[in-house]
Amino acid sequence: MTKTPHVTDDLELYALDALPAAERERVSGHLAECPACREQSRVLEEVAIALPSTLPLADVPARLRARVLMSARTERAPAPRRENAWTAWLRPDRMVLAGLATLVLILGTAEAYTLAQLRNTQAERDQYADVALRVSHGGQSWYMAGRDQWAGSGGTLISPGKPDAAAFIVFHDLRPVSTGAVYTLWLVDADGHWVRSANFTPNGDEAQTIVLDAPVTGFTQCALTVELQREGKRAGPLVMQSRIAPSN
Amino acid sequence: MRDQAALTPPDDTLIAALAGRDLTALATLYDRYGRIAYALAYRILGEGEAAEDVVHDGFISAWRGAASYRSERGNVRGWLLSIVHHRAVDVLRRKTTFRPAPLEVAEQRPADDDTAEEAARNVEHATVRAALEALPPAQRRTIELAYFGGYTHVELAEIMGVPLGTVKGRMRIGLQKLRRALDRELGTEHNRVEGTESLR
Repeated sequence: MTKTPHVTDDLELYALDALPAAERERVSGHLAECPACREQSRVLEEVAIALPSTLPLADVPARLRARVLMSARTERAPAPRRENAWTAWLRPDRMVLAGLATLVLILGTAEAYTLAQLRNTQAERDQYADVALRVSHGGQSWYMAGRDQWAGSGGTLISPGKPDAAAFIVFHDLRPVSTGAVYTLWLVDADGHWVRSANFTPNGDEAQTIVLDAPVTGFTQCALTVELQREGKRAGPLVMQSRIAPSN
Repeated sequence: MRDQAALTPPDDTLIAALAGRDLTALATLYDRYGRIAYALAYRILGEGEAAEDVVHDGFISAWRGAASYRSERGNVRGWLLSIVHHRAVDVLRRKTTFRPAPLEVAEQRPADDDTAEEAARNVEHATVRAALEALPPAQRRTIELAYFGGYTHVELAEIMGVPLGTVKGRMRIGLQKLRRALDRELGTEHNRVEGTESLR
């Protein structure tokens, strides 16, 4: 006994993706609870999914493979945290913490309280990293590929699924900018309004992470330019820009 | 439709590794299905950059959702292509400037790489294409416009000037004929869908 009516008459439409979103949701909901309809749907979907076999295989741009793997690698890494009073004092990395602990021991002033504090700090950092990794799932990501003289560089914006988690971008292979110039990250809404989100200079590393102060909700694209001013409207050349984000 | 067991490592093994966040498994899956996923997205969207975005999102969605894959619901190839197809149609419906015509583009010859996998693919290509071409034109066009054109059944009824029931009927009969043809030619086993009606 199912809670919703059988959807037998809609299964062909469902298999071919010919239903509007709302009706597709209705059918999906029923399939989740009805083994009989689900089995019929599976058979039809198996036929529908043979249709791509009729297509000629085009050459796929090589950058797409790198882009997929880069995004996956980024998601696998712990998401950076939003800085606040609690996380700010966790900022020193493992090496610094280890160095501090060693220094305390060398100076002979180690107190049990201090060492416990350091261990707690490390545990909290690990715990936070684990939480950050999990909250990044279910979010969305936008990729930007460098254009023109910036070809080869790129960036992936990750907006974690959890509402209060900060969005961040991992750039790779950013070129240096001239003295006084900065990279400016823009968020673009569906009406084409560009909103300045962050200014930064490249740190010279292969990968550089920028945490956004504001959520990306309401925006459909992001872009990176080189600017001489840290405020005001966009004036500099476009370095990279994402495509319009599809719905999830 | 291809014999999935012949692939090494098997797709199911790769999906299990994907759920364990194994990037090598993702790379292997991409190498295996990236081209057909891109061909599908490109066929629907008609534009390379948008197709890249859709394939990227599709594989990342698979990366995120590998743990939710259930083999009893279909094979990995079908699962991946379904994700890509659904996203491509979603993107297409958000823009109204491009709607691909039926399948003339598929008249191009398939890839001719000299590998066993490509040979199997070419057989599959010819078989599915022959089965599709054997359908009455109205059924074939309805299926192509829905699957590759991203049209809803309501839009199809308007475009083709027929009642909604006729659109559904053409899809149903067309898919059943395709299934029988593929069963016969590729040796796959599908369960029979009951409750058919005759519509030409």
